[in-house]
Amino acid sequence: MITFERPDLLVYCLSALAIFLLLYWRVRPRPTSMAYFTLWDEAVRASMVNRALPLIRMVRFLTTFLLLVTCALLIAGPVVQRPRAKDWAIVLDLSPSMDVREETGETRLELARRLIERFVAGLEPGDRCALVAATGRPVVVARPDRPRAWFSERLARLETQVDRADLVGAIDIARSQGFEPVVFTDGQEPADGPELERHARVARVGSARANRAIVDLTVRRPSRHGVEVAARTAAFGEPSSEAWMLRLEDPEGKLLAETESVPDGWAVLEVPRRASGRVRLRSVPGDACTWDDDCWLELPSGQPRAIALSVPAGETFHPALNVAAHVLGQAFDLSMREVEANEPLRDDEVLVKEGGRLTWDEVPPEGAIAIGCELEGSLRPVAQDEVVVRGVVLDVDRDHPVSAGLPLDQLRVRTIALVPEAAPSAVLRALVAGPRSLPLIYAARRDGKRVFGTTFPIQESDLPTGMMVVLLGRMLEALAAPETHVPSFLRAGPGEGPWSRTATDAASGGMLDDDLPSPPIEAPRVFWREGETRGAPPTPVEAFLPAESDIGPRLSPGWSGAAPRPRTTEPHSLADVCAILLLMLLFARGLLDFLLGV
Amino acid sequence: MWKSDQELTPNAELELTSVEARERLDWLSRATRRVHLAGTEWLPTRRRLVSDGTLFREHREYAPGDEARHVDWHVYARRRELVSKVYEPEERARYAVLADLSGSVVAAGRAKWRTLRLMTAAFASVFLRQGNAVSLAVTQGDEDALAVKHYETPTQAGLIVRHLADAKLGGRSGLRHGISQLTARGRRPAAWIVLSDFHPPRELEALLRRIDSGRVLLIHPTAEGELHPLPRGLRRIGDAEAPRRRWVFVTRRVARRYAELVRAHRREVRSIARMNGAVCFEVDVNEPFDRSAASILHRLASGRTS
Repeated sequence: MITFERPDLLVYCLSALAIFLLLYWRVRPRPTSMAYFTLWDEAVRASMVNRALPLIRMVRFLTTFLLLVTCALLIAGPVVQRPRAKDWAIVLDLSPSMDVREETGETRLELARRLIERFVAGLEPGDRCALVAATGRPVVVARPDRPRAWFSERLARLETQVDRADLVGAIDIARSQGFEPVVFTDGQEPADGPELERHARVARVGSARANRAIVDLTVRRPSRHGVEVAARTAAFGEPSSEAWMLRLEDPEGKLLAETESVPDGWAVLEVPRRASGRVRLRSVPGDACTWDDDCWLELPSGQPRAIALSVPAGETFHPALNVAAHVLGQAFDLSMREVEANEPLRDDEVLVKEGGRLTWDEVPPEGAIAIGCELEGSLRPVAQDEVVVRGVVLDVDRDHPVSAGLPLDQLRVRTIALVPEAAPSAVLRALVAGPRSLPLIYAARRDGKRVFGTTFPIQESDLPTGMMVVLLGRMLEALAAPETHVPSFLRAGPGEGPWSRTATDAASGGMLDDDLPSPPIEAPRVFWREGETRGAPPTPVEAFLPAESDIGPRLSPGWSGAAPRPRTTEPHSLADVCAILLLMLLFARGLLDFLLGV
Repeated sequence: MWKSDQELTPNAELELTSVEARERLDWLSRATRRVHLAGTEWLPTRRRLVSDGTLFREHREYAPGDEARHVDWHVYARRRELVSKVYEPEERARYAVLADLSGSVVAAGRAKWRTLRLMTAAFASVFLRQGNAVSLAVTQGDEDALAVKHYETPTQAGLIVRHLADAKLGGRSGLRHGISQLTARGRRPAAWIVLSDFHPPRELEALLRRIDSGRVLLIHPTAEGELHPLPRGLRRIGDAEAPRRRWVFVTRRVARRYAELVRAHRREVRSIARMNGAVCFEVDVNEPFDRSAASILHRLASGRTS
């Protein structure tokens, strides 16, 4: 970031420069009146310089402009703020647990040494490192003013000690001397954990631990479509991490939502609208290297996912229906496609069909909307001798979500094209009824499949486009909403891991608020032993990116604890750079003029 | 010369209406009063009787039909007899003088257009004071028609100076448009004196083609400085006679090429004059104008026109 010692002068200079530019373009130099103008035309015709005059003028202008800008910058005194070098203190845990050999064959101390070398190699230029051996009596074994080779040599000579490591004491020593402490430990000093993470950046080597379980779970539907998942966790024994969070993922592991780091108690996760179906809720510690607990659950679907538009061959959708479908497609962010007759549909699609005949086999699992369609076993075309004209609305079902609140009693239909069959095999419910109780808008259901529709073609009614949009939207929502609001928790398969549980386990369960029955929630029956390693492999050394040691704990693999103090900056004058630039521009301008023969 | 060159004001500084200019014009008229072009080898034209004259020759007895204004009433008052005055008959030639004070002349610098104007006044006043008639046409700004006036008597020499002093500077060069004005009402000038920079040369050709009678004298004021009018570098130039502008980058090579083209232009003017039977003199604008004019008149009168 470049600042200026005298910004007011810079403003003045740039203002003068702007005026200069304005004058340059607006007030051109007065031409010298020439007696023999045509002779000048002829004289410059063979001149290469004059042929390339626009380019030369541009170059000369740019050099002049840059010269002036550089002068302005030089006068204003440019200063760049550069990060000040830091003195780091590497605190190495030399407790006996660091001799534990990992699956890779290396001891944790060897892992820590590699990690420290990597960390030191990645430091900013000018940064210095001290080495503090954390034993029962911490001691500085390499001061920061020593060369790096000395540091590496002392690091290689460090061995584990028999007594426990006083990590907090080591951090105090580092901080008292103004160093930035970075602790490399295997985390087997649980009493020091909170203190450590409050005062130092901590890199944990060796296998990770996790011991926080989801003990309570609630799925709420606070709004028409929104879903919230609230969970409560509890640590068994020493918590593996101060910070933890809830993550909601799809079966492929893609993150759908997550909470910020939260303390003990309930954490509420707002589920995005697109999240539905089978999802996985995980409790994750701050270092994000492993997870403590997870459970699978199925969220209720809140909205349709796709629309398939079908129209008999050779015909087109009624414009109002077309507009309504596209408006809803954009509003709900649905994929939409046109399908031919007998073309198979996907499971997530709602069929919207206008005209023709609709059989129950064609109706997809998500349902269908039939506008003026003959419905197999439910609606048949009006016979010649029973033509029904001038359909006037006589009854509106105010309780159904599709027709509730809409001014459908004003609907006028010129001709009703479909009437219920004599022996209906499906349940047909008239949402809007006309003369002789004939349905105008209906809801049909058979074998778990649902169809909403009208018994008249749109062109035979005065249904406005806006009403069509609302009506179609409500039908789509009604089809998308589950008929029962009870989310079905899925059973986890065997081999999901010792800590993987499902809400249908006897050990735990899910609970729904409102008036829905919920199974009792219980704490897990089987606890893992304190300090037990539960499957999470050690964080690879390559995952510890030194540059990420400055960022938040939950985003940098392997790192946890307090972020280091931010680097302070120091001003560095750029006057010499500007002066060199000025000289170069002057030289370039002089060279150009010399070459041009000026 | 009644003054040395050092005492004379340079042409560029000399105002046409100044006392010095008038004195130098008077000197020129006196110095060339016997240098008549009419009747020379260059201008073998006959003088034309234009009036009974103004110079008194003798008295004769009054005869019916004599004009009352020619009666000498002083004699009648003294002697109570009517006598008429008889005058020397006057013969004179007509000279057409065309002065180009267009933009191209003005743009060439103050020395050039002032020299051209002084030379015009010099020739016109010399011819007029020799008893000839002078028709003077001067360009007037952007108007196509020239400002034309006819001078018949020597006492009108001062009006010539006023006419030239009031002439508008700049505009286009359209000398050929003055030919018809100068030859109106049956006037047939014996000689045409054209003072211009003759740019572009095709204008000169058009002018010479339209002059169907009389000899033509071309006066071309030149200056050494007009070979290198612009310093080197990026310059914006405009046409003195047209609304054209352009940028030029004056390098050594461009400047050299331009000087060559100006010299070629002068050669072309001389060539056109020679081919059309005209006499062309180049006048250095740094030379005193009266000396240049006297030199040209002497050379013409003595037949040294090359």
